[in-house]
Amino acid sequence: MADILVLDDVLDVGVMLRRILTRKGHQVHVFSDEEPAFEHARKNPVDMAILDIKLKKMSGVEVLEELKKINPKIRVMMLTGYPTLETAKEALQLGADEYCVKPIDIDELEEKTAEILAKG
Amino acid sequence: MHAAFHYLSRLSFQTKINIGLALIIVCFGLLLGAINYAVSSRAVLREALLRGEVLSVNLSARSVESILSMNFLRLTNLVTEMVDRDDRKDLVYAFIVDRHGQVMAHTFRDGFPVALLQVNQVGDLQPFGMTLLDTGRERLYDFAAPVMVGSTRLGTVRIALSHSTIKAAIDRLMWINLVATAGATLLALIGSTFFARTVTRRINALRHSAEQVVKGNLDVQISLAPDRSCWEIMDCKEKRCPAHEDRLRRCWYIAGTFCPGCSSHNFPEKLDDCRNCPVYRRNAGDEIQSLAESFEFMALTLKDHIEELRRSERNLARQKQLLNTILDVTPDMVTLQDEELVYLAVNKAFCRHVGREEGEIVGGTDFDIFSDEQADRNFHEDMQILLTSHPLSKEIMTRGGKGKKWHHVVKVPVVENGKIIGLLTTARDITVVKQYQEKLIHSQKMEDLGRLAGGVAHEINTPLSIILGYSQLLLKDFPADDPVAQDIGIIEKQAQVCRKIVADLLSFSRTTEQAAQPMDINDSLREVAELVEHIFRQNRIVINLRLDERIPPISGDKERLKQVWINLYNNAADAIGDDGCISVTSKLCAHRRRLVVAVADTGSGVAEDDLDKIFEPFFTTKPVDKGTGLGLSVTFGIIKDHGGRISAISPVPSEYVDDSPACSGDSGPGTVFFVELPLEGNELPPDECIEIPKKET
Repeated sequence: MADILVLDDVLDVGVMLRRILTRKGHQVHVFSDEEPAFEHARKNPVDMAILDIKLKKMSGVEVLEELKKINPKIRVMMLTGYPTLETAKEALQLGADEYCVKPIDIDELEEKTAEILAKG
Repeated sequence: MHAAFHYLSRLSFQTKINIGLALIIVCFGLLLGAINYAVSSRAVLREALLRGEVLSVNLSARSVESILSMNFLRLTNLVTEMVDRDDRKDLVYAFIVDRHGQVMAHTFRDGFPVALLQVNQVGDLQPFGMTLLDTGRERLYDFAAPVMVGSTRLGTVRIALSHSTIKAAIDRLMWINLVATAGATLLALIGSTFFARTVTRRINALRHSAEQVVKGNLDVQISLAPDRSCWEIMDCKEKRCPAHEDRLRRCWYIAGTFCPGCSSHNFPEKLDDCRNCPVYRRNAGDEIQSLAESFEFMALTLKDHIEELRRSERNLARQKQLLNTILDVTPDMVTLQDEELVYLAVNKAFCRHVGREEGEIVGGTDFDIFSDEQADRNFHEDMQILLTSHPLSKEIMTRGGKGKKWHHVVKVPVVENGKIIGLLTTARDITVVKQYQEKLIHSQKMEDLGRLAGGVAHEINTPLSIILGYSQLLLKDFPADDPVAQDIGIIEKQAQVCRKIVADLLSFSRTTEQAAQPMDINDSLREVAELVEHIFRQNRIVINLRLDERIPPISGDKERLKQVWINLYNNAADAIGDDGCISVTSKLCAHRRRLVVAVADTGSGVAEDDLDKIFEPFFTTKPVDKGTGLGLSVTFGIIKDHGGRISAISPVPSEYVDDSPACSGDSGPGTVFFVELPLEGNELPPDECIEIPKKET
């Protein structure tokens, strides 16, 4: 099963995602701050990251860029409550695999995650 | 006496001169004749008496010798000869008596009247004696002379001269006098007639001219042109001189003449300098001539004045006309009241507003025009302005037959010489401005609301996604028939409703992001129509597309505009319910700078009062669980992002009623939505689109 990193400024969202994805047998690590998340990504082989666009210090797009530097093979799903065309374009250009809008249905999340992991 | 005087005063001037002159001449003639008669008759009488004396004395002297010789024959011859030879035929008789009184010779043919001897006794020492005898037939001057030799008296001679003969001579004199007087009078009358006619002709000419002036003809010419005018006399070459070549007027009546001796004054002051001028001395006439010239000059001056007055009058009339035109053409209501608030002047716009004629308003007050309550309010307001002289500017709203009307009223006190003499009121219809103001406020409200909604939606989104996520998660943990699963299902369902609302709110509030790319409006309309058609068909709703293929591609967000069409189609279908049709029209506006999409339905229509509110968020006429009321707001936001405008009219105007068979039959008044989009740029052109019917107001 996969190792998934979740970064969201609201911890409850991350916890919820962990509940959902853990049920599918994935290893899920939840962070609400950027640095510990980077730290985790450097030390562990992370298969996939689920990123919020609006974070505490940086934007999700910047985090995406940084993560891609750490691990170019990492799969990324952007999950945001503020969908804009610019961020969507930018994220997809930087190699994000999916751009989803909050709130997201469990089924959709599970489906998309499966799709992304299936690519790799 | 009075009547005679009155009659005389009415006689013509010429007759008066004639009568006057004739009277003077007759009086003088008669007076002179009387004096002449008196003097000459006395002279004739004296001469006759003197002759009688001479004759008697002469006869006395010649008869001395015959008496002494007693020669009676000779005596008789003497007296007879004397009487017969008298060439004047005035000697009536002669006789001689002796000293005893015996008749010695006489000339009586019918016998001597003895009574004669008794009269006219003459003394010896007297040269002669004279007595006037009246014989009954005639009067006689009887002369007696004594015949004396020395101191001895021989007898007496008597002769008589006829009084009537003398009188005849005197009468002849008198007649000559009378004829001479009459002749002189006649001559005088002829002369005076000629004189009077000359004078009265000129006076009549003056009178005639005066009558002409009274009748209004001021071009009078009485005086004759002088034979030599000033420029001929003075050998003047100044052609610019106003008197030059003016043959009608004398130079002293013309102001500003160029002569060195001429003063700059106007007539009659100028005349003082002219007295010694050769031109004046030659051309000045008598008093009547001067009067005529002055009269002409007066008429000319009067004419100038009258023309000046007429010009001023015309000018004034034109100014008045101009002012009236301006006041009547202006759409503002303008009134002028005096300090008693009585209307002095009103313009057409005001008359139309109060629905009365100008004549009815002018002279009256507000109490004659408005209701008592309104007039009383106006009166207090107006008096306040008149007392304080503070102008008033206010906006008032009236509700009349044509709905709400807004007027901007300005009342200004009219001040003249520091005193308030009236009140000028202007009222401008600012209903349209107010409507724009309301629209602006409305759109501002929408924008604020959008921003607020967006903020709220974002804040709610995260907790909502957690609720939704956990409820879905829990749902999987329980079997479907478990009551807990059913409870959680309800939570999930309601969370989904919230999610929809939040998504709509976010769409509504989103103002910046759009993926502008060239797109075909007609394509997107068609695409959406195909999408919803089969759903609508279940309720027997038909979509008719009438698209203008000339519409060029515009720059827009295809997906979001599709959402607009979905919203509009859905709204139309909801309004119809079952059986009806939706007609979709796309058109280019006349100026080809914008396009219009009209979506008309045959549904139940929208109430007039609701038309303004339908684009407000959460406004809905649908049942509680049927819609969020955000659909049209979202549509509004998207159209606004495209620089366009959306409006609605209900019922559908005739030109937008679809006449295809599917649309006929029982249908409601319907509603038509107009979406205007600019063809270029992100703003609608300023000109109105005539393709969109105006809302009936």
